[in-house]
Amino acid sequence: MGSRMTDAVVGVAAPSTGPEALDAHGSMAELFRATASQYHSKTAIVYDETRLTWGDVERAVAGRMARLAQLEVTSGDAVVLLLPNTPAFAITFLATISLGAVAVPLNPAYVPEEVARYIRNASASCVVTTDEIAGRLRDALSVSGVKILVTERHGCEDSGTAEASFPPVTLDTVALYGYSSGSTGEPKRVSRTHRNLIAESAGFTATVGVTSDDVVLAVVPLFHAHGLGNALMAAVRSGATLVMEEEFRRRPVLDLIARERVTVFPGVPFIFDALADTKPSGVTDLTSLRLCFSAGAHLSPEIHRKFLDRHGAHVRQLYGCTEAGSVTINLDDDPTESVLSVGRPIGHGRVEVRDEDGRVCAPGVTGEIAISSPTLTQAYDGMEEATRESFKDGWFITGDLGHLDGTGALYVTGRKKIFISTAGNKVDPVEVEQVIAQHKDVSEVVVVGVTGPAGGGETVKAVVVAIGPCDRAEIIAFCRERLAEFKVPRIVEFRDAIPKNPLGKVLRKYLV
Amino acid sequence: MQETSLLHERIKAILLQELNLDVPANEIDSQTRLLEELGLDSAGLIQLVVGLEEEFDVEIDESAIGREDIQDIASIATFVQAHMDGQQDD
Repeated sequence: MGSRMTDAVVGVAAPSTGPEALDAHGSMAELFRATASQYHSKTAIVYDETRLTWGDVERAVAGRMARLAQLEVTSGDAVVLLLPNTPAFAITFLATISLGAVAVPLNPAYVPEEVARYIRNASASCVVTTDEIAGRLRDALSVSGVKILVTERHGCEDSGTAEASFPPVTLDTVALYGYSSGSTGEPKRVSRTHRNLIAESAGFTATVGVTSDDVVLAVVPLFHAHGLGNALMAAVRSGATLVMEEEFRRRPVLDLIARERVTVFPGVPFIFDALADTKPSGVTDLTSLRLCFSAGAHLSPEIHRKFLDRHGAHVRQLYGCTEAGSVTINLDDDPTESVLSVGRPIGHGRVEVRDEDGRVCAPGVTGEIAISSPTLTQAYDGMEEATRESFKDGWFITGDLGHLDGTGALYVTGRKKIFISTAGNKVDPVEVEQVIAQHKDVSEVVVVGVTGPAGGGETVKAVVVAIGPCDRAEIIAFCRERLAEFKVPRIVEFRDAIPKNPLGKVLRKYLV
Repeated sequence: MQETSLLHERIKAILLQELNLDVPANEIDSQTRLLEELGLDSAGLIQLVVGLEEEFDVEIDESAIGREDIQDIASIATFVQAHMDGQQDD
């Protein structure tokens, strides 16, 4: 694009490090096999009492490929992963993409209605899940008619090898469907290819310096782009050890960091805030931590300071999205002064800040953040209008607002889109509004995010105009049946009318 | 042993503060159902436990908390009191 010629003197951020050599691997599957071969006897995954070497993982992946093949999963098929952070997640993900099939990681906390919607959207042919989750989601899984593979948490129970008869997996084979919150209540599906994932894992490990000596904590969900890219794929690329924890519990996580000598800790503000407020049990040595970084929502200087004071480690900000994975990270030697910055581009990514006419803003001027990267998808599947709005000339227009400083460091200051950031999750208010609007006693509803406790992100609030005798408990119960718990409003306010401007547009500022 | 009504008031104050509940204090009593009426979720539970630890100087393992322990302020008070008594005995 011609206008990029002026990048050097306007607000465009260059990568954090010089261009590193991207992998010569022909697919993520090939990259995984190379790592498994090079680090065959080294610990790959620590999960509870289970310790797997990269050789163990390779065998388990071959077994899982054979099992999926028996279920007639083949190249191009979508395989839904409804799994917590377990070896089974990593093994099933790697087996799926090694077959040339598409991994579709979903939040196991979704209610049956939500799961059924995603299964339909992905046209999934198979769902891999645990016995417990399968039981809870029985209705969604039986209605959709897909094949169900119930796995042990360790994921190593399958044997055999799936040989030869699969079409070759190439760089342009789709490996992953991710879902981005939509502004219409309907999630937007993005396809990311093996090329995208290789670029992401290579860029991240090179920029951040993750090596086989590292121990990466996976407590953020692997079904989310943050955990998948910065924990699982970073380990697959580098041969690092992945320490998995199914759910966030404060002192067990601190104990795990000390016991396993964790060096890299991807988290979210909510996690770092809760840990900053937690006295460890006894003597807990966290000096192994060399890199803690937070994504998913704004990290306050207060959380950075509290965590540093309590645990002796800086928490840095990373900025990313479902469409591209990780985009920037703050790697300043001492990030105390620049803690509000999400840093500079990772790998070969580029960042611009643009004004309303699409022109690149000068440093310090706030505009909309646009990104370009080999990690980036190029469209929302089957959504032409949404694609036209957000993808232009190879750039993704994020909907986030921010500015670059004179050194090229990015600051995210707000967003044009109206998502609500709760404790590590994004909530689309329109989706919640659509659910509440189905209640027989509700005539109108608007859902907004209100500022929550220091580290907890925002709180979901529903403002309801009722035409019948419903109360707060009724609305919450109604939502709980239809939405994952993180989307359910904590605050329900009843009003006689929703404030609107003369054109009928909801005046959200009067609702927060 | 703390006086029950005082303990309940302290827990209510923590609930309102930690969970950012936009609910008038007089609408919450010892029997208000926290999960059903106030939308307490797993993230909220951790925020609540952090507040309880700070207020009562106890150590609480959030994974040891059962659904029955957080039904309402009264059940949280029973749980916290048992922790305080247990940790004093240690």
